[in-house]
Amino acid sequence: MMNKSNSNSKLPKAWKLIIFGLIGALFGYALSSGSFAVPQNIDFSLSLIYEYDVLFAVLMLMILMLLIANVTGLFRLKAMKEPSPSLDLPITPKEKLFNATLKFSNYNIIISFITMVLAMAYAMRSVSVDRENTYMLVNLIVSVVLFIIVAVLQNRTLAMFNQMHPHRKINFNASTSKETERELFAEMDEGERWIVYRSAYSAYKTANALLIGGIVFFLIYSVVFGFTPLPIIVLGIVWLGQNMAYQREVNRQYK
Amino acid sequence: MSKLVNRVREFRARDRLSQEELAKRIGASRQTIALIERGDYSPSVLLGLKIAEVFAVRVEDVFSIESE
Repeated sequence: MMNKSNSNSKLPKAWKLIIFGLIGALFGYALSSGSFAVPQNIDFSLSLIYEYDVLFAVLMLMILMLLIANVTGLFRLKAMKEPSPSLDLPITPKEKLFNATLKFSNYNIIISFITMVLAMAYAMRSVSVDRENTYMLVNLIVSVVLFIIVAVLQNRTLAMFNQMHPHRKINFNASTSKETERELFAEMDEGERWIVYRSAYSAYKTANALLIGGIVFFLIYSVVFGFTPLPIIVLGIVWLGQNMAYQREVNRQYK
Repeated sequence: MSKLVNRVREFRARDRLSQEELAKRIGASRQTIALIERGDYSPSVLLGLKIAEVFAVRVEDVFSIESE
């Protein structure tokens, strides 16, 4: 019964699509046949128009929003009391809030870093207009300052982790970040390591899909707007590098 | 397909132990105990033996295989 009603409701939709398609084709034919007078300067070629100041404004707005979320999270974490140890919760409200705050902080590090790099790249191009020079300089300074603020906030967020887990501290004094990661991983128990492995595998699969998606996107971009090989090559190298790292680890475990 | 089932929660209730207390006694985290109890994670033999030791029972009293 259910299937019948579904197929009945799908039929008119299919007809609607065909009718809309026919109307579109009719308009397209009428416009291209020369029956109507079209202004000479009209351009039907596909193009992507965006202003760099809009791009930077959107990025900085995102940074600002994540910054607010990060700071709010830190204040709320400070005010929040530790739950009773007798409570059997897979994750306490404080841990949940901390995870969300750390997530905002991590996203903000990435976005602010990209913004800073973009601002540097934009500043390094040759500029001849004075107004552009001022804009470029302000843009560069703001992006660097924002990145420093975000990095300091991440440090404060990780310090909060140390307060919450006194037996499992992140060593800020380690000589390299790799050493810090190694120390933290060594302190994890098997259940926590299992969570890390699962999350890492999920991230690996997602990165693979995103890289393929990116390559396909730039392929379409090349077809529509012109040959753009560099992003395809870079994404291909990243994809290759990621798979090589995965295979190296698999081979190491099978030795 | 076989599945590992456990009675950790049941034994914990018997001994009036919180997840945190059990975790401390076996040198694990509370999250790991929660994962085991939910059946999301099958612990290693070592951890299984440690859990059984805390409850003063045999490991097969806490963990068993169930056919699906």
